[in-house]
Amino acid sequence: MSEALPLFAAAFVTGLLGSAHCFGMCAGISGLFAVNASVASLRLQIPRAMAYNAGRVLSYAFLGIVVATLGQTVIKAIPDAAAPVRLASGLLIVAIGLQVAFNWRFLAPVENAGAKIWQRIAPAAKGLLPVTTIPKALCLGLLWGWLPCGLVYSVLLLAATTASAVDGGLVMLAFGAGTSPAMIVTGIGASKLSQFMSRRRLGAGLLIILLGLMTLAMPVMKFSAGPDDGVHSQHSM
Amino acid sequence: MTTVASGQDTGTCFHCALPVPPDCSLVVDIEGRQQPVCCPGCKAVAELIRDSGMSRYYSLRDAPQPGVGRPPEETTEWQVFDSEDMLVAFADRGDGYAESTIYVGGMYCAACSWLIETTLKKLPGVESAEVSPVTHRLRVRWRLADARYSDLLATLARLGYQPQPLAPENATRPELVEQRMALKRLLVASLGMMQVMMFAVGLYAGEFQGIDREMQHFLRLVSFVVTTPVVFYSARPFFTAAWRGVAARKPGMDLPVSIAVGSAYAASVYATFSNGDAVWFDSVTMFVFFLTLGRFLEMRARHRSIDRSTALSARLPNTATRIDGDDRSVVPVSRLAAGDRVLIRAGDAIPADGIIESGSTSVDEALLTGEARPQLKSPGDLIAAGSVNLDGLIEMRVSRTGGDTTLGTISRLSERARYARPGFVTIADRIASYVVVALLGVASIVAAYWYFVAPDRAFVITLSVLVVTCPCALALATPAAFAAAGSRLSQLRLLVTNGNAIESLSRATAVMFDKTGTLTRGTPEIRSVMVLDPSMSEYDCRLVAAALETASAHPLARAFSVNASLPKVSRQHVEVGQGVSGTIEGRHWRIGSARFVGGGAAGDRDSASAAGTDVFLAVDGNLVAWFDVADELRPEVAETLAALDRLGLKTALLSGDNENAVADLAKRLGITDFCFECTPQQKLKIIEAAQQNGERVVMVGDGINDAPVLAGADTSIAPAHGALLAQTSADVIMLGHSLLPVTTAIRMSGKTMRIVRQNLAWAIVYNALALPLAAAGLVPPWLAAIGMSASSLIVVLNALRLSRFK
Repeated sequence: MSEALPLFAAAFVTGLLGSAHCFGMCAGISGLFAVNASVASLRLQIPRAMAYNAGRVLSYAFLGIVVATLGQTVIKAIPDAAAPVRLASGLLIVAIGLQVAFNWRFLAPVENAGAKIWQRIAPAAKGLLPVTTIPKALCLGLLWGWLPCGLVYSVLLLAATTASAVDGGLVMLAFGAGTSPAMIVTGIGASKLSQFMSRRRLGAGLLIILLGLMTLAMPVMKFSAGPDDGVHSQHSM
Repeated sequence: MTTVASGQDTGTCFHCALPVPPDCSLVVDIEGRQQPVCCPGCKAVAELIRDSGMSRYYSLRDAPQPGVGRPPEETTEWQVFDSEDMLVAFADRGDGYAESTIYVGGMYCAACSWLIETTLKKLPGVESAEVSPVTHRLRVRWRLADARYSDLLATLARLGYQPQPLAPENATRPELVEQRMALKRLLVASLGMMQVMMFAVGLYAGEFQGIDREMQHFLRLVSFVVTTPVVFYSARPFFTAAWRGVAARKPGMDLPVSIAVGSAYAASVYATFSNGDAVWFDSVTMFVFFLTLGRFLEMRARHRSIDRSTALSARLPNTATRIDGDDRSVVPVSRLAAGDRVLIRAGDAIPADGIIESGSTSVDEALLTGEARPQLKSPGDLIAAGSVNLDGLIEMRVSRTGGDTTLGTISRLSERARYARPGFVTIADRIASYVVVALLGVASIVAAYWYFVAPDRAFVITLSVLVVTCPCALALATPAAFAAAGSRLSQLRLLVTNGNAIESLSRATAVMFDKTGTLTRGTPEIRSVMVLDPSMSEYDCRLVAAALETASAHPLARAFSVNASLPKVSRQHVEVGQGVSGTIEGRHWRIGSARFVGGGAAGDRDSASAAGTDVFLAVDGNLVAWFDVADELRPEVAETLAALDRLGLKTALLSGDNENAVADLAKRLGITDFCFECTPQQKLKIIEAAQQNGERVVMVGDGINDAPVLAGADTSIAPAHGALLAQTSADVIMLGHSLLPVTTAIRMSGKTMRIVRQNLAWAIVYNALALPLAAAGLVPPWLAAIGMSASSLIVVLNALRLSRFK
């Protein structure tokens, strides 16, 4: 489990600091919660925002488990894949860092593919708007997890490299948990936070890149320290 | 007009406003226009919004064209705010810049706050603009050299909002600050708790399944990082309150809370860095979260009634159009004085209490009286500050301004209501000190015992004892119920100004009503006049009566007021509840009840009137005229009395009116117990006699003539009569027209006391059960935190049932 640790951390930080983009994209959702009520009270908004986010994070975790299981089958099929896969995770985290820092969208083609999937889901989402109840908010969140989003796809790739359903799910859970504070407060209008985030994109990106470099360095360090624990790509959980 | 980046031609995303990458050619069709978007995600969301029929979101978000909000010629009205006076009144100024808080009417949602902030920040000279979508307040800071206050306000108005500058004392209303702080603390605590719980699941799973030392250490470190702000920010009020209690030698329930949070946090930090056996970050964050949540809910209930009065004061306009001869000038409302003439246009709020001089209109008084129907007003009628002029153009002579107006008085009374604390809450607070000391004593004994028996478990068990026995439920039991009851009552337009009123209402056995102005509306009218002296005309009689009655505060006196110059009265004397006497042009006049006016002839007339009240006018002992004055019953009087009857309460009617009027009304309403031609002294005697028979008397009366009667009852309820509101000393004030809330209040007071007793019983039973279990070491700290939180949440939620009471 310890080897997946920097991955969780990177996913969490990506969620936490990379969500400047989500603000612009999803700020409207708080509007959708409230657009027909003259003023939606906080008492109504907070539980809905929580339910919506819980749904979204659950979707991410589910996707994480799916891709990680796929990743597992692929990686298992390749002999001596452990080291290259570790290397790939590290590079991927660096790429995510670049994506956050410079808005470099290396997964644009995947986003287009995701948009196709979304077209099948959109009609269901339409029926849930405007969000008037907590179950509706939860369902909308579950569907929202499928929105085409480069950031999500890149972290999903990272989840795939864990080659373990549990770790993959946890990577996405950490990512979703990281995005939650931002997404919950958008519902309550913390535009200040959004500005704060967008100004610090570069810093956030660099932090993620640093985590990527740590991931890259780790097998090297482990290897030099001796083969006592953690070198094997499969582990206890 | 600066436009908000809506992305038409600027290369930014129509949906999220971020730059569109050069290689991206995605567009979305919104209301017939192709708008560029930056990614498939934005496209998907935009289409979803469109297809759900919510394109309005974008039009709300984007700046409307100038003139949508207000007609352009009216935007000059904002220029008055550039005057020195206005800046002093509504802005804080520093070196070259000014800051002001503006209430933004007409906000919908978070998108509105985004729009306002973006638009204002594009104005030259504006340094910062922040909008709270919760309180609808904008805090803006601008350089005085580059921008004018009126520009900011006009911009807001052009966007379609209704800006209202707030004077600093209104802007920083302490309860708003308190609420905002509490909300932030709650958010930090809840986010912290969610994260730490996630890590804790990992740690607990690890304990069962085996976990790397390294991983465990990492999870503990992250938990430490997340818990720290929860302890030092969210839980800070507990620490400061605990310290205050200790310093004042009156330790409150915050002391054990602080000891528990502080020691668990300290021990966990130590364990984290020394690789100890266990950390309690999850218990700490959970404990703080639930405590903060309990306090927040209780505070919300307390504040809900104030939200209402804040809304009231927000309705007052900032400026008024004053008429000086032919001149019209826009002046700040604070500059208006009694006697000024002001012009009020349709749609404007009335700036002060006053009398209409010309023009007639209908006004909306819902905020003041709860009366939803527009009230017709014509010259001579009173109109109250805070009501809204619906359709006509009127000129008004100001009679009262600011805090002296009905609105100001209501706000002051609600303020008083907020600080009214029931006597036994204070007692409970005092007992709480002893409870806390006792609990700390028990905790020390438990600690000492386990220290000798099993030193390694001593800390955990003591921690559990401290957490589980936290007397939060005990401390919240009563105030939460009273706050919820108070806020529900204020919704019913009843202001409780005496903290003991709810308790005393709950014990009521009899309700006694005053007649005029209480059972009736208190707006009497002369139905007919019979002139008995052929030398006088009906108009003469009315003039004399009006002149005499100017001295009287009796509600019936209002029926006589006429809009004409009155004869001069000397040696005017008021016999409370009976009538008025005075001398006009050397002749001695008396007006009032038959007995007061004297002369057998008056007695003959009594039988003539079957309803209403007879008022007689006599000169030098000879009857001159007889007025039949009638006062319409309040709505729902019969329902109220029937409801009281069903509750098993005795009802009685105490009136200074004549026998016919009172008996007739009593019969119509089914009241068997009534007294007529009562002086205030007699009314008081009746109440005292009832009290000696063991009755708990609620007196419902306006107290205008008979303040001692109200004071003599166990509980007093007074209807609000504009002018006399300020002097009222009643325990409960009825703001609306209907009497029905009186029964609701009585039923609700009983329910409130039941809930208080349930809460106290529950708190005591819970503590009595939990303490031995925790002391025996059977309760781990996290379970203790859940148990304690659940017990106080149950108390608060139980109390909140009152806010839905019907």
